[in-house]
Amino acid sequence: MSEITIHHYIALSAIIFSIGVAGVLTRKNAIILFMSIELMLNSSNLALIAFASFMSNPVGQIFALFVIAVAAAEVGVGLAIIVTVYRNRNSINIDDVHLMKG
Amino acid sequence: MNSTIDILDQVNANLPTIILLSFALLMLLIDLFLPKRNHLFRSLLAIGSLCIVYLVVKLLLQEKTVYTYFFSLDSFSYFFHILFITVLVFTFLLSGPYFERTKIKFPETSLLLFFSTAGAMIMISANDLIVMFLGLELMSICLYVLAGMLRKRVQSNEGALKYFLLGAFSSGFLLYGITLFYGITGSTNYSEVNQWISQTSNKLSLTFWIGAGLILIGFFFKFASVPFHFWSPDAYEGAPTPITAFFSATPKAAAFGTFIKILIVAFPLVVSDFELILKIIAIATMGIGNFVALQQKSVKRMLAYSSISHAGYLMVALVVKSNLGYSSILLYLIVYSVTNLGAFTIAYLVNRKNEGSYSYEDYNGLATKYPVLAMFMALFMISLAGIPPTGGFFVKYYIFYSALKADQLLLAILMALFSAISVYYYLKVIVHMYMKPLPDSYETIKSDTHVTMGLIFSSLIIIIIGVAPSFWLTLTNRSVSNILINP
Repeated sequence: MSEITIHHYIALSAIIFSIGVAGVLTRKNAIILFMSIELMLNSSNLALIAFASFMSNPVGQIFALFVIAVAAAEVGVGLAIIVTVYRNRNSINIDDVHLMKG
Repeated sequence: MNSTIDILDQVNANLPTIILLSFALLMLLIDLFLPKRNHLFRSLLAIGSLCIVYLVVKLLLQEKTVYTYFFSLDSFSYFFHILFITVLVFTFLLSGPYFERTKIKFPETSLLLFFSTAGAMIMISANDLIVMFLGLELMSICLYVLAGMLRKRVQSNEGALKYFLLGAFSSGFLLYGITLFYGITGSTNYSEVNQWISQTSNKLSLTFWIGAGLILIGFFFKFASVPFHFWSPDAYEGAPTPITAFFSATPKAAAFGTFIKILIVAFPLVVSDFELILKIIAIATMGIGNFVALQQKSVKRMLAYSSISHAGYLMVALVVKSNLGYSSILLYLIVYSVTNLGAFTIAYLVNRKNEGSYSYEDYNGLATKYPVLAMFMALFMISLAGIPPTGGFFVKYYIFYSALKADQLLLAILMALFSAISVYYYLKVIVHMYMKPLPDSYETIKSDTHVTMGLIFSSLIIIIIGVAPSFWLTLTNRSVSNILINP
């Protein structure tokens, strides 16, 4: 067993980030899209904390806290928007969101 | 002792933002005691924000500059602070009849407008990528709510959903880029990133370029430049029209201003490596923005696509990467914001029957019935098309000139060509107003004194910049060249 290095953390966060991007690009359900975006933000958190701990520089961890706060605010607003869409259309499939064209 | 001075500096560096936010919260309290009449509240807001502009200008005249690790208050931030607050004042002045018609509560909306303006101000004065990101999010989250303000209208919901999903998606890219920068440079401060680049200039790692690329993608989303523009027409169309006008002014100006600051402070050594990608995207943005705007049947959507093409012109000046280019971007942003605010206002005033159609036919015969309103609209359209003697002509000319001066012949020619194409769809509005007959049944247009004042002020700004453009260019040039880097 080799030791866990910074590269492992960065690789993991890159993989999570890519899963998030792929999710946003391929899925159709607004909630799943939203979850994928959260994955992208949280992969950054993982990388920030890993960098901070390996550089023994606490700044990154503080930034991660800020990012969590931002993500929470986004959840609040995002879910509210999704709920209003659902109330008006009874669907949150983004393929049904096509009233405006051109 | 030293730390108290540091805290004072931090407060001083954020003084305009703090004044603005305290005023916003105070207004929310005052609203409780006011009779439920929208326009009294709006006058107070507009007058109060004007006082803030006055304070900021006064600070500016004292040449008070503050530099801290996270924020700096220099002539560049002052310029953008004044621009943002001016846009805010105009939004308050111009939005009244729309809010009365759609029964949106004005006080809450105004609070969101204040917060997003504060976010934009933080973005501009930030000296640090993470602080910039927090300002950006403060601005964007308020904008997502504003886009969906018409809760009962499906278009508004859809616009808000698209804006939210793609906005958050782009924030994810930006944040990951910033994280990678933190990992490789050990800091997210602009000047420290620059120092790091200068120490390792000829062997920048792949990670650096991935980080820079992600940050660029994040900004391209915010500019609504071409491969990343899909959210913008729908968000613009779905949002309440005065809010759309705000969308086309503040967030765009904030994104361009921040990008210029990052290019000048953090990336001066690698900026020429971005040239090719910026060039391709500028050409694509101008082309697609203009050609799709040609086919639009709705004036609101046409203005949305035209704002994409304007982002393309601004990116031409980013490619040039000279001080002349950057200062013409600043001047362009003033003219463009003010013109768009006016144009969207007239669009919603004219579109009073069929909510949401915004067709060109609504403008038929406007000049015979409302000659003054038609004159204002004609002025705005001429300014957007870039025809002299309006400000719109000179700002385009300066960008064109800076591109020629930097030997970007192809870009300059394409820019002239595309803006010649754009004349068609802007003049189409004027043709409908002046040359088509008045329809038989004609409803009166409801306006109020605030709107008249706002329209007069915005036309004055356009004409003043058109009359004395070089004076204004020296002003913006001073702002750009005095960015505090690291004293």
